[in-house]
Formats: sequence, C-alpha cells, structure tokens
Amino acid sequence: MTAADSGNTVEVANVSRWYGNVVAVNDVSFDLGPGVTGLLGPNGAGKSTLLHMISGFLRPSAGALQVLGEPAFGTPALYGKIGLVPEREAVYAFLTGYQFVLLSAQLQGLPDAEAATSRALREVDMTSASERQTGGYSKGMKQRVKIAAALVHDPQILLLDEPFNGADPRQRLQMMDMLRRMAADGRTVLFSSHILEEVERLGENVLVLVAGRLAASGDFREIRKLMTDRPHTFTIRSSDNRRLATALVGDESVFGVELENGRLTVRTNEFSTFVSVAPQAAQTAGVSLFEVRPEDESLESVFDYLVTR
Amino acid sequence: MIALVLSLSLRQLLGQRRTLFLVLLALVPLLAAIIYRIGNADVEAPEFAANALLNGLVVQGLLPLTALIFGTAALGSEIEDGTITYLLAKPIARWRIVVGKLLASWTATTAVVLLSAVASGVVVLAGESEPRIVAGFAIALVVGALAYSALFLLLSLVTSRALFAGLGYAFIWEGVVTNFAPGVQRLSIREYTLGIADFIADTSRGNFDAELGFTYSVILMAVVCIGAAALAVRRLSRFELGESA
Repeated sequence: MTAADSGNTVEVANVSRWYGNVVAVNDVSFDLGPGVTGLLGPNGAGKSTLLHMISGFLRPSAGALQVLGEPAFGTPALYGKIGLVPEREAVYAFLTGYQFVLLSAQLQGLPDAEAATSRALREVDMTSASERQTGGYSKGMKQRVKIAAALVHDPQILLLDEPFNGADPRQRLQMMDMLRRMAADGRTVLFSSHILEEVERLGENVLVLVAGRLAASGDFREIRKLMTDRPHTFTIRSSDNRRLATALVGDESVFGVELENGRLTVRTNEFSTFVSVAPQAAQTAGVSLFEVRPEDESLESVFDYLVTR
Repeated sequence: MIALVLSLSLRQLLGQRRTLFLVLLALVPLLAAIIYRIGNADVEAPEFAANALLNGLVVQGLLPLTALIFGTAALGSEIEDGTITYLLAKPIARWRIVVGKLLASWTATTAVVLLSAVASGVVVLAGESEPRIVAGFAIALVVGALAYSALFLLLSLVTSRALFAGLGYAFIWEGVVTNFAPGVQRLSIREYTLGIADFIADTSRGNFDAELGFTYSVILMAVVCIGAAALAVRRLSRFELGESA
C-alpha cells in the first residue's frame, strides 16, 4: 500500500539514530496523516533528532522513514511540499523580514513570490515589521518570520521544532489558531515541545518521546489521563498532622498515609480529587492547612512514569 | 536559483567583519609599491613587481588568505550558525547551491586580490615598458582564486576546522613543504598560478621564473577546480545537519 493509499503523509518504521555509542532515537515507529500532532518529550529526549530525520537532514541509522512516499533523506524535491521551522533562532540578520520570506518564496520557485510573501507575512501578523532587518527582531518576531518563510509555498506538511519558544501568550494563541486552520485544510502539522500545556492546547494527537523511545502515542486525552491518574505523593504541613492523617486515610482517593518525624506524606491515585478532598478533610477535622505540596511533579517524572508503567 | 544563492552569499561575505581585515591587508602591497617608488631601491621595477610584490605578497600571501576566509565562510559560516537550513530545505539541486557559493567566494576573493595587485603593480611599473607583468598576474590571480575557493569550500564541508586546515595547506604545505621536496609543486595551487602568470607575463629578462609550465598549470588548475567542486556537490548531497541546527 502506498502512502497516498493509506492517507499517511509521514511513515516512520523502526527508526533509530545513534551518534557513536549514544542512541538518540531508538526503534521508533508511527504514521502521521493530516491533522496536528504534538511531539512531546523532555529536553534531550530525541525530539529534534527525530524531526531532523523527518525533515531529511539526518539519515536514520536503522529503519525506514518516508515522507509522501519518498525517502526523507536525499530527496530535495520533497522540500517543495514540506515547510520547516528550525529551533535555532538564526536568520539572515542583514535581510528585512520581507526579504527573508521573499527569498524563501523565490528559492521555492513560486510564480508570484511577492504575493505569496505578503500573504505569509499577514498570516503571522508580521506585515508592519516586515521592512525592518531581522537582526533587530525579538525572539518571538524571528520565530514568526521563520514560520512565514516555512509556509510561504503553502506546504502539505509543516514541521516545527519548538515553535512557541519566545512567543508571548497572544502570539502563541495566534500561531495555534493558524496551525489548527492549516490542519483543518488537510495538512499534516507536526510540532515538538517540552511543554505539556502547549501540546494539550494544540495537539489532537500526541507522540511522547522519552530517552529516544516512543513512550506513548495517540489521542491526547487518553495520554493526559495516564499522566494525571498516576500515583502522586503530597507532603502536607498543618496545625495537627496526626489528626489530619486520620481524617484523610478514610478517603477513597488516598491509598497511603505516612507520618514520620512530624512530616505527613499522603499518596493518591487521583490528583484532582485529592486537591479538593484535602482542604475539606482539614476543615472537618478542625485542622489548619499550611502547605500542600506535590512532590516531584517535573515533566521528567511524568515521562518516567509513562515509560515504566 | 544560482543567482539568488550568489547574491545572498555575496551580501553575507562582504558584510562580515573579516572583510574589513582583508581590505586592510589588500592595502599592504599598495603600501609596499609606494615605498618602493619613494625609496631608491637597487632592484629594477619589473623584477620588484614580479618577484617581491605580485609573487611574494599577492600570490603567496593575499590570495590564499583571502580565498581561505571567503571560501570557508561561504558555506561554513552558514553551517555554523544554522542558516544553511533555509537553503537546504528548498527543492534546489545541491550543485546549484555549491555553484552559487563558489561564485560568491570567487567574486569576493577576485575583487579584493585583483584590485590590490593591479593598483600596486601599476604604481611600481609606471613608466616601464612591461605591461604584460600586471596582465599576466591579473589573469593568473583570477584563475587561482577560483581554484583556492573551490578547495576551501570543499574543506568547509569536510571539517568544522576548515580555517586551520586551509592555513596548514596554504602556508605549511605550499609555503614550506614544496620548497624542500622537489616534485610536490605539482600539488600546489600557488605553483599553478605562478605557471600561468609566468607564461602570460613573458618576463623575457628573467625577472621571474615559475617551476611549472603553462600547459601543466592550466590542466592541473582545471582538475582542482572541477574536482573540488564535484566533491563539494557530492558532500553537500550527503550532508547531515545535527541537532544543533
């Protein structure tokens, strides 16, 4: 079955990439079709390596990686259908925003490069600043002009490496709307992020990469549930830890209570339930709560849980 | 496409700080020429122009250094800062990128070196009946600039320390080794350049003699230009950009 038959635009089959003895991406397989997909993972998880391989900038050490039915590496013609937003901030500092996007349009061989440039700059709300040199742009402006350059030729696939870095909240929402629109038009949008909330707000589908391995993939809500409904540990400070421990131990959301050296530690499977139960239990027991602190809520610990579950 | 890559690259090369250094360096032969004219040197003007000025300062110093800086920066600085992504992520045949970059490096090198050579040569030879010396060196420098540019462009695709490797080639291999090991002049762009200059300059009074003949020099120069450019295309076609890009 060809890529066109299956509706897949990106096909990644048992792909690995290593640098010497270091394995950056380890036996990853997935297919992508039209829609927005978030590539989520902590820093150093291999997201950029994977995106570079899909972009055709890196050759997989093992496995097969096809984009629109062609090998991603060594097929420059594919770039007529791919738009790429690299993570690095560097742009041609001596060009104005308009010249930078126009250069991209001309290198794509577009028949009306000027019109395409103006349209792309409008899309990212950069028309007013387009006559300034990109060297003087803020990080967020550079990011937007890079996106304009990537979508100037109306690509079928858009690959973005940490696209929201440096963007302010309003710009983020604007970019997210734009990417959603592109996906609704039948395009494949793949973006990487190490920030859960970004992926949550934009990605219908998500790929979670941890230590080079694909830890989870599929519908974001399912994965979010996995991430939330995992064992959590809270450390609590109150006016009477012993009485509060007695009150909490009877609650269904709590499966472990430990009181050691005056320190109360509570384990729960339901994060959101517990954070509403704890104050109620304290109030009922007549105890004042000073602090309810979740332990090790770093994204890395969430990812570790997904890998080891 | 080649014209786009060429104009972009020229703006990059000429806009960098190193260019100012090269322009200042290009003034050294002119300064030497002026000092020669002002002073009462024992050396005759044609001999000084051919040997000390155009061979010694320009061919052996200014030409390789200028070509090294422009040649390694044309692609090397883009690889280093990551902007190469914007060229590579386009549906352009890789040979067009290499040709555009090579032309940019060649143009920039030629502009700096040729102006310096012609201006200083004219100052020294004013009033002399040796017009072919400047013409011969000018043509040889244009051809030599292409060969050096091709070689250094290739180096920038092979190693991230292209500047050091190029310095080693130009000033240790060509500057030292070829003087002690007879026969290795055939592996020196400097010698090809001098072979061409000697033939066209036709310095009948023996002002200057190249080690290699004209035909040999032209053939070997062509081999270097075509070979280095072809290898650069092959290298860029298989080039991998790491995560940092």
